[in-house]
Amino acid sequence: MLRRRVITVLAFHDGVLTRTKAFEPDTRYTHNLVDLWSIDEIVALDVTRPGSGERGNFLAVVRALAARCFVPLAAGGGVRSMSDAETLLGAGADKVVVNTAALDRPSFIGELARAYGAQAVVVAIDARRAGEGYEVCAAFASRPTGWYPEAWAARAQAEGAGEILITSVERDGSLAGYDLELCRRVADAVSVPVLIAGGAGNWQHFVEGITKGGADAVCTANVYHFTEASIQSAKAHLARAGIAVRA
Amino acid sequence: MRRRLGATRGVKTVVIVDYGLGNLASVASAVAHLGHEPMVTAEPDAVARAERVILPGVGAFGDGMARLRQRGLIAALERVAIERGRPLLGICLGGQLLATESEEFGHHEGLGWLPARVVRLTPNDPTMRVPHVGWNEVRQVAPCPLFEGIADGALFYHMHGYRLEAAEDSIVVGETDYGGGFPSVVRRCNLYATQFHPEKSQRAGLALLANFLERA
Amino acid sequence: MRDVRFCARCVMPNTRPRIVFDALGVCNGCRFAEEKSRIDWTARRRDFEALIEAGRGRGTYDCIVPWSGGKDSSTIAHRLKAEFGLNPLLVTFSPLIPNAIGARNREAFLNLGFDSIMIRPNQKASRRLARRFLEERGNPKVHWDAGVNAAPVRSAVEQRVPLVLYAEHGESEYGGRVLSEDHRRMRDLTEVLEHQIGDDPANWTDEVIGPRDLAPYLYPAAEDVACVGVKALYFGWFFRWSMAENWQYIQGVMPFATAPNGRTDGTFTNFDSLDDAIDDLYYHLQYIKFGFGRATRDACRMVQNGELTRAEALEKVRAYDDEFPSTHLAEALDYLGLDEAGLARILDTHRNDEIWVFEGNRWRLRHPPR
Repeated sequence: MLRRRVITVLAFHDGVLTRTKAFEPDTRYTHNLVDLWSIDEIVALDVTRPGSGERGNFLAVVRALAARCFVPLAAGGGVRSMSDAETLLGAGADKVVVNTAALDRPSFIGELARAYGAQAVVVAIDARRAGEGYEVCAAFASRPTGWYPEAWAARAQAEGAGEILITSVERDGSLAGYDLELCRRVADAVSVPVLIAGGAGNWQHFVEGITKGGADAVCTANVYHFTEASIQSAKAHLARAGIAVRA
Repeated sequence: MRRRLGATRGVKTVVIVDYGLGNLASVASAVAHLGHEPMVTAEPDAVARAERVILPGVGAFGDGMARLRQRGLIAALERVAIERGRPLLGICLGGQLLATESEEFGHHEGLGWLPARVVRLTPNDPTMRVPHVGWNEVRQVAPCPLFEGIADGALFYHMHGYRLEAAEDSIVVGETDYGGGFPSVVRRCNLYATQFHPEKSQRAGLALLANFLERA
Repeated sequence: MRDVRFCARCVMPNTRPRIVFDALGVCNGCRFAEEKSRIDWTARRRDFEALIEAGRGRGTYDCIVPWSGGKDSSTIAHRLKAEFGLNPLLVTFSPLIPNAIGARNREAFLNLGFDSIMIRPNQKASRRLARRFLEERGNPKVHWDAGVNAAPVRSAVEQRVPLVLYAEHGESEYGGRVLSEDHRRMRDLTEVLEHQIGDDPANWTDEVIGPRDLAPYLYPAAEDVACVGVKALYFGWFFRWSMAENWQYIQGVMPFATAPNGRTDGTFTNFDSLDDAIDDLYYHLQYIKFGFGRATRDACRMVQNGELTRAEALEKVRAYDDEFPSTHLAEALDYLGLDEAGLARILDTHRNDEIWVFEGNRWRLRHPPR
């Protein structure tokens, strides 16, 4: 049986592991204890604001991760062209994550899928609550787009997305739990795997992300969740809740 | 605190074919981690002379064949794998390219060395998501040197929307179930193909790669 | 961090988590100290009086004070009783390694006429967590932080006392990230969890520690807190916060025991953070991770209160920050199940090489305070 995945999301600001809160860079961490053996997958995102750092610093991080981890690595943040994607894949990423560029030009997703296969294209969607529903935001959640997340997810799939990473902007960096309704709407709208992110505080939130949110994989960006002890504790909790995970 | 698999003995050059589409860096890291010397190359001559070849793969079938052709790698692969009979491991797309044909984004001819075709993955349960992404069990349906020391049902990382469909059951040594079984490890003589990514599958994956490097 | 800078007014470096420097190179801790002199403290005092009048005398206790027995929490408790006629319940979450000074000071204070509850959690789990968090986070007291934060709120729910009075808002006082003006007055439980503790204590289960072992570290359920209507406020919002004044105050009401050697390892003061034998190591770890030690911490507070000049502060920092905490080391090692070599190995994993460089057989700060 296919296992549900626990995914570590690492945000880098100019090559330095950073946490974000509601999409604003918050604390810098001094010590990187990411356990590269127990986690199921890694997503590395460059959250450097344009002009405030060098892309090379992020690429160095991707190279270092690819050399040390023998689990899948998705990389993104600022991917705007085929050559951006090629650089990341060349640095050792298995998948590219696209967000704003795809919103600006949806056919970009198809170009990536035709070149690298749909399974290598993760479309990240950042959404905020808006009225009764949600609205997709672009550019580090600074720009509303008018898209409903469920509609945009369906369009992204039609263009060739292999996975959808859905993040609640409000919950980002909080420990309050995922936005399950947001995830459920997206999961119901597509047939590709959906990864839920933003707000994971405890292991029960992981369980809810899967059982109530309909996610195929649960993501955490909390550095304290990356250690071997934490990941094993999380997986034991998921297993007790009847969810098949990789031990 | 970090657990390491013991590096294996004997440094041998392994050619990893660079056709501009593979996740070369991770395959090369895994090979190096196992104590072998990976040589990532697009040089047809180097490929043709190799002792062991890995054809990795992230990408679409048609594009992959086109790139092999443009770089003059088809003849080189034929020389090393068919004429010289050296062990070749195709990973994911790299394994699919060994088949006769594919229906991914239109109809495309493959290398035609495995009696199999590449078809869209269609789980019998329509609620199951495609692509098939994540850790899933591989059932060992026939003995294969690649499985040495690996538990039947070990988990490997899959990420694919297309799958092999074997014309001859005899080539299928490993199967994965995702709304119906599909061949996930295929062997014909010196040719091996995995649908999953051993270089991304932690201990079991590294063990499978080590088996290819030392036992195949 | 490509450049390490020091506050132009105190000596805090920008390596302190969440600190913000303004255009003139002054940290937000110093700016807050300045702001305090402009606050209408008489009005704040009136607000406080109105607030306590509303809830006074409803039960045995009028409020809960998280209480270590140190100068700050004892001063708050004493003032609440002496100045405002309240009956506070003091709630203490036990230090990891309680010592004689702490016990003596707590006992002396209780003799002045206070009720207290002491929670000493399961030590098998506590020792295991201390070791884990030392290794993972370079902080053996993460779970203690959680316990100290949770225990008063849990007591408030259990005793049905709707008011908890915390001391000062650390993020404002010492430089940090202030989420909103209201967070300076009313304690936000999620802020504490996210900033100070980092993750949910419910996550700390492993093959030895089960969910029940973690009960002392968990906040009560939000519904229960809401049911009692527990409000958690900062005393420092209503009354000008000064550690020096607290120190003066407490000496006036009881004989207060201080560090026996005249000062504590790693600093020049003798009156702060005395009650846990693991604290000296805790502050040393802060020095290793962020490059500023306990003397920096104490000196900055005193500069902000006008008790030291910047030059004097620098002198203290240079003299004491680097001192290895040897006085209580044996007790700390026993608690953590480590020998000195084992500790040294763990300490080195937490050295940030953007802050430290190994030179001439020892670690040196790349950017010494200046």
